[in-house]
Amino acid sequence: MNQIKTLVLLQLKDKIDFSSLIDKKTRIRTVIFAILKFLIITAVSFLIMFFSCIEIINIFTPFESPRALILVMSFLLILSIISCTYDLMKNLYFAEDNRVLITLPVNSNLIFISKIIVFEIYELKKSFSFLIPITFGCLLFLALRGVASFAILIWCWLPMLFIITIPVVVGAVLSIPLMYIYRFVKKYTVLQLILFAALLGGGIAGIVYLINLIPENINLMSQWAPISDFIGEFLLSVETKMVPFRFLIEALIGEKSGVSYHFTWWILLKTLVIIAFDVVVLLIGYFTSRPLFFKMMAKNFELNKNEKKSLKNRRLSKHWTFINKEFKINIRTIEISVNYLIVYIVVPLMILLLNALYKAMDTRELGNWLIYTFNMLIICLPMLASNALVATYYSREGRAAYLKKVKPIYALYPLFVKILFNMLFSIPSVFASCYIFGNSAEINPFATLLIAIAVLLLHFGHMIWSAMLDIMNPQNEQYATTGITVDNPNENFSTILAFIISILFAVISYKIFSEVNLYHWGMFAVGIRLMIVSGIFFGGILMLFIKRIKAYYYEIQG
Amino acid sequence: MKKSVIITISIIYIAAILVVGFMGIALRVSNPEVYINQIILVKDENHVWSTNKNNADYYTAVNFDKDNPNANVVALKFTYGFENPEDAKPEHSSKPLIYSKFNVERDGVEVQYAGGAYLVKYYRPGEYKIIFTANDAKKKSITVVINVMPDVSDII
Repeated sequence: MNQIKTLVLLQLKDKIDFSSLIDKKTRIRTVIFAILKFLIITAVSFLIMFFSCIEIINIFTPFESPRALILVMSFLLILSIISCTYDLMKNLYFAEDNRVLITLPVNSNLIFISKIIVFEIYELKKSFSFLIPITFGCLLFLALRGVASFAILIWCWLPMLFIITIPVVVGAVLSIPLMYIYRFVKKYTVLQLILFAALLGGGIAGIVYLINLIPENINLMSQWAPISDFIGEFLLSVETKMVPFRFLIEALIGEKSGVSYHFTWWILLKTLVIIAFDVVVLLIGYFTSRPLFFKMMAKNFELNKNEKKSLKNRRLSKHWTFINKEFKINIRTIEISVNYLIVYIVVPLMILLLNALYKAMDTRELGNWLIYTFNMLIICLPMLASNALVATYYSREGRAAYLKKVKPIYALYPLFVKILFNMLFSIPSVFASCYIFGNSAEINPFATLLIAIAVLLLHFGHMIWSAMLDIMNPQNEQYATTGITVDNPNENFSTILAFIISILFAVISYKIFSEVNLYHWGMFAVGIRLMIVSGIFFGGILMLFIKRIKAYYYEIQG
Repeated sequence: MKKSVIITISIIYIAAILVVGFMGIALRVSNPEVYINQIILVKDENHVWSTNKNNADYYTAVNFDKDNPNANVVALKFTYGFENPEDAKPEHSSKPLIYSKFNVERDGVEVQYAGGAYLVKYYRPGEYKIIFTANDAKKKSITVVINVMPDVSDII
């Protein structure tokens, strides 16, 4: 028992930050904030239930509101099971502290039990942020509206404790096969890439499908009755199909009798069933992992000889060398490749959702101009903001930056190649976003193409400006010593520029779009005008970039 | 991207939806009663056009079709060049008046020219004065005043 207590306290110190509890003032402040957060979430949950039941909105009646609680509980518990399974797998078999724990003079079974206890305490702490206050808010509503007895407000804490344990014990069992799958996938890079691409593709397809479900021209006022009926039927099907979760809710609020729920002895029996389920699943997890745990815990950090094939050194042409080098740096630097993925995939999805919501509105002429303007703003803003990373590209070379001046090639070429791949990867994203916008706004394809070129020129112009900031004000020393910068002035300035340029471009777009009726060629003329504006900006920045490189690399040195 | 930048962009995104939702939505007027007041003069150097023959050389008329009332649109068709009011019927019009510019004296209405008619789209009940300015320098302008009176109990 003492050994388990020591192991738990040892691991708990790493997982949960207790520094705020040392000082009395900080302790009081932490507790007050935690209570306030709990009360606010409870109040929000209560108000959502309250407003859903009022006559004007009438999503469900107070006596049907437990169905909403079943839906919320199902969603939160399923998410919790998924995250607990993954976290437990990492914690049990791949945690860094395993190297230390395995050397302690304790049985590996005790280490397993201590890890489960630590994880359970962590889950309980996490539940107080979200699951518990939401559930408590709903239970408060049910009690006040007479759907359930007031006694549930005191009783609910006991079954709640064992309901929160369900994701932990289920995760402990599911983490075993997941661990084998994870080890297998980690061995083969190709498999990881295929899995990643499949998950990414599936995620994008799912999001696009959901966005396309948003109907056009929603008139909430006149269409509310069928929408309300649909929600009611959906909640009824949740209650009939999600039997396990209904069981859990009934353990909290009581047995249904007529339209209300009564606090009977059946609640106690149901709670005992939940406790028994937790114990049985935990025992299954314990006895299944017992022969495997020590072996798998040790195996995952043992140093194996890595036999890497040595690649033959190939000689490439001068120009191709730089392209090859920068491509590899772009792909291998996690920060850069993740930035590409996130920004260049998320932006078209954002535009798709935005236009789906706009199509659901019946807008007048001013509304249409605002739609065009905000589309321009939302396409440009994240694209340009992502260029803040470009303002760190040259400084990342650290103390090797001086090599830029000794390369046997015109200085502009390697400097430009550094931002080439960012330019190339952004092209499909810009065209996809503008296509979605043009299609929704029923703009002719050629005009849409011109608008896309205008946005692209703006994006490239800002990218070159960000690169120029880094060349003229290098932060090499910071990257050389720490590998990162906390407050890079070039990054900050690039971000501010991104906001200013995007907003200015949006304002100019509004003026040009609102005068479309005055142009003979309509939207085509709008596209030309926007291209001229962006083209002037891009041309000016490019010229400045070239002049500065010439001055910095050649003229200063005479 | 920094967390603060992501939060700012998210706020702007939500604001983009809310601004269009509040400022750009077309309000609906149900069961409107639309009538057009007398037109004020159409003038050129030599002639005065009016609906009242006594004040002019030529008669002009404005006919309006109340389109689908739920779409809040009134179609205005002008006819001109007849000496007798009886002759000023839409089917006798050989050449419709085409104006290149519209000035709207009161916000809340849009005008488009389509299929020989000026489609006036209104969004709220009220009085709208629309001035049509001719593209022919000789002809000056025509002002049409439209009144939209809703069934008060049904305004959405």
